[in-house]
Amino acid sequence: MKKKMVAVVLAAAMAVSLCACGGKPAQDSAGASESESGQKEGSQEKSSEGGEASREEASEPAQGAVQEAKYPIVEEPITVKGLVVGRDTSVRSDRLVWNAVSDITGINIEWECIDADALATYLAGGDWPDFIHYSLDSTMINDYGVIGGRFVNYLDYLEYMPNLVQTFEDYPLVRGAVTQINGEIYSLPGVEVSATTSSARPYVRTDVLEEAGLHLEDIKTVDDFYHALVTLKEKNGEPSFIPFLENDESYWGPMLFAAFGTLTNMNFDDDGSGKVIFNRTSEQMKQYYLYMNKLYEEGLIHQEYLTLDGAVRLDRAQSGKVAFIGSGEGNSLQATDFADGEFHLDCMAPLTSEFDDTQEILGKSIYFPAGGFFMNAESEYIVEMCKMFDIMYATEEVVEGSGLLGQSFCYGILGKDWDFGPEGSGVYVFHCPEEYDGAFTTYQYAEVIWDNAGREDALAGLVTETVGNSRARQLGFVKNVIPYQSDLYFAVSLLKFTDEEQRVLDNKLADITTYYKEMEGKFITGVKDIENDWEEYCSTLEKMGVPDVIEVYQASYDRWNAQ
Amino acid sequence: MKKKEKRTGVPASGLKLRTRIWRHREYYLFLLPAVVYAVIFCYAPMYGLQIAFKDYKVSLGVSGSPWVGLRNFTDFFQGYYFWNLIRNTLVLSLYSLIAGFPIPILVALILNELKPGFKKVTQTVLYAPHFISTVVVIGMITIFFSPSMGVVNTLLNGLGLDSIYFMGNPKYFRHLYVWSGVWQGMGWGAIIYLAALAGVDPGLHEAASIDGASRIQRILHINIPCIMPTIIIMLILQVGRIASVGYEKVYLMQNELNMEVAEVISTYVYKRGLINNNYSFSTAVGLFNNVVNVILVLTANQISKKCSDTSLF
Amino acid sequence: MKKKRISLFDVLMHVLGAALLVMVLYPLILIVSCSVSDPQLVATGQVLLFPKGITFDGYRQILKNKDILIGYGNTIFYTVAGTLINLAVTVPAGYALTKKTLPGGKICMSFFLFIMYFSGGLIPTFLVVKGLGLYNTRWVLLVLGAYNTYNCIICRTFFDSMPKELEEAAVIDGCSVTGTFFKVVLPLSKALMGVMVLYFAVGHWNAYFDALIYIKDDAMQPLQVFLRRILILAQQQANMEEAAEYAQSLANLEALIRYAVIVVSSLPLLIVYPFLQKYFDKGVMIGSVKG
Repeated sequence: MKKKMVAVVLAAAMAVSLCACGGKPAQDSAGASESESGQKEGSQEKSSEGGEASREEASEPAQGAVQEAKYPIVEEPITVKGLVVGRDTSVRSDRLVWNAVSDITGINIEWECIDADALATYLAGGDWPDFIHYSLDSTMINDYGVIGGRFVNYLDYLEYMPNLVQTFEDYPLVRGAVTQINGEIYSLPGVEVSATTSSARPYVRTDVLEEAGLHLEDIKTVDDFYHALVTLKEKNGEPSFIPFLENDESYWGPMLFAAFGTLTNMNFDDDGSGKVIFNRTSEQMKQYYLYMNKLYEEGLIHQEYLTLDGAVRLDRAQSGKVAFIGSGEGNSLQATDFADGEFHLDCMAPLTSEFDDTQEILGKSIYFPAGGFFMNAESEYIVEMCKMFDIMYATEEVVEGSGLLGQSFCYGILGKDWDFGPEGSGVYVFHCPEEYDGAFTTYQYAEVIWDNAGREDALAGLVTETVGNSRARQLGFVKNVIPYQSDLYFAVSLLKFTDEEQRVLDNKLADITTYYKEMEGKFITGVKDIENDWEEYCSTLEKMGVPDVIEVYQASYDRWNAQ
Repeated sequence: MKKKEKRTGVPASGLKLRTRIWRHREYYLFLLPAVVYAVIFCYAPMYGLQIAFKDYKVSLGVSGSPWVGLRNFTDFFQGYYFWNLIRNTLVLSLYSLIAGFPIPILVALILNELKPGFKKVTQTVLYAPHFISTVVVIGMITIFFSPSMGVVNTLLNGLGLDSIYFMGNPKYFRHLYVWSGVWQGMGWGAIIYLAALAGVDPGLHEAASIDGASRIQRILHINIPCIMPTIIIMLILQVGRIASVGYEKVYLMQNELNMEVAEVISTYVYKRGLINNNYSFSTAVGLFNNVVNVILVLTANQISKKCSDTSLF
Repeated sequence: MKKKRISLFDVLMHVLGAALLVMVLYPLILIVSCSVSDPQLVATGQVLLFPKGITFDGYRQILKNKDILIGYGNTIFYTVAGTLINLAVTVPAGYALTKKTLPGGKICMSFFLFIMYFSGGLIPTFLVVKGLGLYNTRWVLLVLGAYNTYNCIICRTFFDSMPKELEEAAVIDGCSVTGTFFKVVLPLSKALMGVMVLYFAVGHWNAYFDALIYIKDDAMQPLQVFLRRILILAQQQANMEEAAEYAQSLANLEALIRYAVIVVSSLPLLIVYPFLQKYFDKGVMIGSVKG
């Protein structure tokens, strides 16, 4: 059922993106309602059995009167204490969204902020606030939650959280993400589905290509890519590709790896039948390394890609001599970096090769599923806070005119900070205060965004109307990356383990990961010979305990699938 | 307090003891704040050492957490790369010690011979690198030694040699690590020796130069022997830090190409902590480190007792 | 007897001194230059000595944060008060430990050495501090680290190297132990005190981890905490996957801020040092012992 839901969402994204080009209204597809501009149609399509039907009426606009009656949540204003970790307080003292929340709920929040390093001692000290918003690691969750019973189990309060219930049904992956080893739920998930929810980020400066007489659409196979790089190097005198390969779930790694076979995940994966496999020793990985090694040896990849500083990468990206950009520098390009002031930035569509022509790449359809908002079991205001947090999962304005819904926790107040674009346009509009001078992501990150919790999928498949870097990249993802993402996403980071299982992972995983990344670097740069040393590499990994890790993952994954 | 020995056996010596204690009463006063501090802030939390032998959960508290004996240690010892970690840690430490210990002494001796104005300026400048954050030092190294943009390789090329990818070559990792550390620490490390040199009686120097000793002879036979106790104590203390190689600098210098020499105990524990933050495990490794350090210190202390008058205790 | 002519040895020493100076000065100047240069030029190794593409954005980013002033104020307080407490606790203890005849002296030394190597851990120590009511107070940074074994050992070593005749003379004159210590020993230990002040003061000045853990209110946080926050914030912004269209390449600012932070935080220490430095000059003990 998980796969079906993901497929529906992806289909919606695709439908909308296709319509965005064609300018036709996107009302037909089932999941497209989320991208309707300003229309308050219920998102009831996805809910099958609803649970408490009366509570679900909250999302239907026709029930506006009933909805308003729910707010404010309390008769007399109350104050609750919340802890955030790591994000500074001084810049975000306004907390725009939460002020609006306080206004309509009558609940004031006193925020406290500590540094991530201080969290362990803070929690151990025992004086807890009413809730903690942070993505706690599994050790803390097990310690304080499973063993200590200090967190509220949201399952006991679902009657007060209809929007959350709906979200669980729409996104079973997310429900699994927040369910702990003992079946209880201590945190609220984050569901971010947008035009940038993509695994690969293969940024390309198309103007650099064009100057060399190449076109992005013509690069379809790995051989095309190779020839393009050769041409570019001859013309510009330096490697035109600075890959960032440290992250196996983003940027270039998954994208290129997928071209050499049917596997999509570079590390551990589901083989399609629920069986856990390890792909680092696969034939596909070998072919991928052989290819990358060839690129490196011929000087088509920057020879220092393993140690290059971010600022150097940016410098090369801005220079106009490098076409295929590695990572974060893609985000930092400005209009002035392009000769004509227009953004010639795109993403390369997945390649094919003699080994695989499916173009299917790693699936990653949601950000932040693990969430935050752990509630203190000793708080006096559990019910009130549950009702308040449920706002984060609303797919419609909770109170007419308030502009508050799930998406607000990412982009701000609907109608004030952002709006849907005209119907069928496939865009959304972001209103940025003047002092930020159009740099709206700076504004977002400084004043608006709340990571890791809430249902933020209202803009799935939509791109920003504002011309610029974000729009260029979003178009690239929506067109060339998201449609190719696999339905299957082996959520290894979301699995839950027993103490025994965790111990096996603790003892073996660090070494295994260090080793295969080390060998990746050595195979690609030619320090180790792929043909000769492959056997030893595979057997070393085996000796390190990959089979034990697979066993543990399998046990946990079986439990996950049985949920 | 532990200092008051009650059981001394023969009453005669007991009497003498009490008198001695009374005579030294003011010294006990001098020691009092330090002892109180140690008891409250160091010994009171010492029960936490048990965590190394338990599967500690904060919710259960230290006493409520289950004993697992030596399991945390065996987990550590049975790691695939355990011997690599030990080797890398020791090599870096010993290399740092051998290269880095004499240099601050030499710097202090040289500084001591300079004209006052020049000495002041040099001293101040020399101790500044101590305050540069590790991140910046590594950043500078990466740029200086980069094959494509670094001065070092430009020089090499000028001499007709090929560029070397220093940061990506395991051969150079240890040298880069140690010598950048020496550079950063020599000014700061020299301070203590300068202070020791300040206590050298100039009368000795006057007498020696009257006897016709050269400046170098005077340094060798007066300055160095006078600061020898300081040198020995510092050496013993340094030996007591061999097992501890901090993680930050190594972690920043590590990459896929030099990992086999760049993975030390602290970076391994850090990476494990990123996967799953097991407090018991890191406490156990810390305890292991400390025990090794203590053994080394005791050994060094014994050796120094045999070879000289100075020792730690 | 003063040397009238410059010997070869002098020249050699000064050449060596100059070499050391250059070896260290060059990177230092570079850091200052980098802190005001265009980050792109810095990252690509084009800033070799003098600033290029001068920009004060790094400093602006730091100084526009009014907390920096609070941080400076707090740090000065903690450094001055803390160092005084450190000296009062550690130095006398070091002196007492030099007395070989002190009953239990050896045990005491072991007592102190043990804590230099073994510690109960972060959480147990935190619980003790909290239990004493020191959490989130101005006292906690002053009290923690009041005693330091390493420094105590240094004190002991120095006191040991003082000629015993001085103390004996004082005792004969009828001075108490305390009197001897304050009137005879300390005045002759200027070099040691200089070192101790330096070590303790720098320790306080650079402290941030304890502040992070034990202090919650910003009003009491020292400088390093604020600086670190700015740096981490810049790092986060530089690494964000969604970040785009920064009005002024905030991503690059992170590199610039790194250098500026060093200058901002260590400049006062560098200015203060020459004043302490005179205690390390030769001849501090001239005339103290006759015959």
